[in-house]
Amino acid sequence: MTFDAPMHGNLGLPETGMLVVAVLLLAGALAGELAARVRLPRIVGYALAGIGFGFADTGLPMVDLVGPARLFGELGLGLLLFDLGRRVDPGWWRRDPSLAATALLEMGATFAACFALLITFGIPAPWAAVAAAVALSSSPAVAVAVVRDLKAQGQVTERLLWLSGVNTVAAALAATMLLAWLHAEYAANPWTALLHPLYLVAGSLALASAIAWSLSSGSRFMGPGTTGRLLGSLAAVLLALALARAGGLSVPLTLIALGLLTHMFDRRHQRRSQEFGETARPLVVLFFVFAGTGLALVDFERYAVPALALVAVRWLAKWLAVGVAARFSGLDFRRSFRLGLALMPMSGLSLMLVTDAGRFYPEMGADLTGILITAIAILELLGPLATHFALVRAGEAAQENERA
Amino acid sequence: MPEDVLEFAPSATLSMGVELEVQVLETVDFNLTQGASYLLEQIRRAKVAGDIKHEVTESMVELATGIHTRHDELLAELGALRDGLVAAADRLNLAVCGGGAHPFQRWEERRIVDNPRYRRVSELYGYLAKQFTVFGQHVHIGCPSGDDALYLLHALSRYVPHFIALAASSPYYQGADTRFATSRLHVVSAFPLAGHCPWVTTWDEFRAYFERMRAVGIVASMKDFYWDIRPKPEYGTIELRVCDTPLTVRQAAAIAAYLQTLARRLLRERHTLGGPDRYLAYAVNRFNACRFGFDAELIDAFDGARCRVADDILATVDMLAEDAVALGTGDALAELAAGVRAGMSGAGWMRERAAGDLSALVAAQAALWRGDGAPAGV
Repeated sequence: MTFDAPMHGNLGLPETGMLVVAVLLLAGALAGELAARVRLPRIVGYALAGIGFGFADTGLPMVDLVGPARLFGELGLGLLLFDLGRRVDPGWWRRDPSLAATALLEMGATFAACFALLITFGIPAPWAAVAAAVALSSSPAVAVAVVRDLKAQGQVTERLLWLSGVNTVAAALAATMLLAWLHAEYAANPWTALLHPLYLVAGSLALASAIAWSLSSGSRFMGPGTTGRLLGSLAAVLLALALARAGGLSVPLTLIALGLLTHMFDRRHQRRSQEFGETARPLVVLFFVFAGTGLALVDFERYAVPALALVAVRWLAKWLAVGVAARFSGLDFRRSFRLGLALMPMSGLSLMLVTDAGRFYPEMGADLTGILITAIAILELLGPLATHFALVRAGEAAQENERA
Repeated sequence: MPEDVLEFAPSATLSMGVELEVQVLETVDFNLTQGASYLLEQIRRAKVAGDIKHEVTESMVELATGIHTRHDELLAELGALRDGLVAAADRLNLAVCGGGAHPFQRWEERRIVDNPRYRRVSELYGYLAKQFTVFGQHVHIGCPSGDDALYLLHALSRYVPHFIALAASSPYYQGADTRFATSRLHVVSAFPLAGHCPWVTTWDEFRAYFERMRAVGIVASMKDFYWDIRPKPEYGTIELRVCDTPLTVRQAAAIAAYLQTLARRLLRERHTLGGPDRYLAYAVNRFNACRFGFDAELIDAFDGARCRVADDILATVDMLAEDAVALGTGDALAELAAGVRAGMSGAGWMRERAAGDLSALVAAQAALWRGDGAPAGV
């Protein structure tokens, strides 16, 4: 009796990808639980695991961290943003106009402060504007993940989710438009200058609307709040991710628009969906781990000073603006400033905006990319701590034995 | 001093006041949420007139009216309180609704309000304190003396099933159809001092009973009795506590008017109470009303006669015509009767609306609570 089949295995690209996913998932989950043991947010553990692998990656060339396995992380982001859209009612500001004022003041202050700072560090004005636009976003992924882990409920929580949603849409729109416009500027063709930003923004929004509308309408046939609807939502996120990438559109903009629009249609027609919630945990772990891996290559020695300055200025702007404005929404003095603190995180979504920019528009320059990625690396760890602390101190977290 | 703590402070006969416990909801799944403190702060800032305050968990607030003698004025105040509450909730992206229990909330997720009394309750009663996230309507009726209060309390015991059926609006509990018209009352029954007031018919006897209970350390105050009807000596009232919070303030006011009218009749006619046997069928009738609502069969403890709750309510409303004219409660009673004739109650409306989607049901309850567009009986 002979065996024709080779006795040794063969690790091709797909197999390596799966192996990477399995290892990152396990390491992330383990680090997350360790973090929870010492009363830190789990996502800090996920990110630390990712950073660890990022360092290892340079010594282990066969582990391809930027390969197709990364898509699992993007899917995790997609699911988190979809759940965010479910929680955020964009029309809330009509019932509480001071909420809109808070958002405008917060974004205005953040943009102005970050722009001014980057100019003083010698970044050319157009690129400083792009970076300031990216800095608007308070990581909605961190907000959803921390809120979920703490089982937080209350006005600080709700306003955190709403403001993160709104400033992320603004960041994705502004950064995409500015980049496209700048790129066209260099391309020296007036038609490209007009059409390319339009294509990116309108294309992303149109794609998100089309999928959102189909999903919401289709849910009539699946019954309310059923598993069928959940599967439909998963397919929708996958579809949005695939088509946005294939069409060269903005992935972050498409994903956040998909979540918001689907649930806007749902609300209008009184349809009900289910949240992914804990079901999405494995992909959420992968999202934060992958985001962490990208941060290991940060050149701290070179960029620590401007990055720390950016982190500080951005946080001060958000903290002060929200601390002052949120009081008109009926939050007391302390809770207003805690809301400002909770808005600190900046993470994977901003990283996507930055790396997209760096990849497509090399004119952006290594320095600015370096500063931004370093700032994101700092906030990847510091941000969740701030949000976690703010929600606990605001009295909105569940008691420790009742948390996730 | 203990002796003068339980003085019955007489109040204007047949004056009435209503307390309503309402549900505080988020607006995505319409589950209960932690919002009472924010809501009360918002109400304070908006200077909404009237009494709106905390109840045991962060997912409920209580509206209380002032003292009224007329149904229309009571309804107007309840409407104003409701509007103030709804406006505050809108600003906070919250919703509020009536109903005796939330259809699908998980009791273990509730949070006890952070104040010493509620913490003590939580410590003593454990999971019962959180399970007590149920929402009732309490109606006070003013009595001239403690003896009158006890007479009225015992005389009303025969009608308790009416009030249970008229207010019943908690057919769903913890996500399941309980098949009861009201599931709320049996949550209250879990407390050791629930049920009915013992057979004492004068205020002196009552005081002696209370002192004995206090001396052996069973109770510390009247608040420890969770009876269906209990005297409230400091207000000079008796307090009916069996009603679920109805789905609309209109129904709540109509139920108060029914109680006021019935009280006038009973105080006027002075029935013989017939001794402790009066309570022989009480627990069974109460159970049947909770379970079957208007279709429940009532058993007369004295002669064993049986009748449907719906028929008994309609007969009682007819009997009260003269008193209703005197108090100006005719319209309210006619509306209650119309609901009974149509077989429509809060519980019935909820079952019609649920259709397998309890989130959508609570959303509809919140919409109903905002306005006056409900069918009679709801």
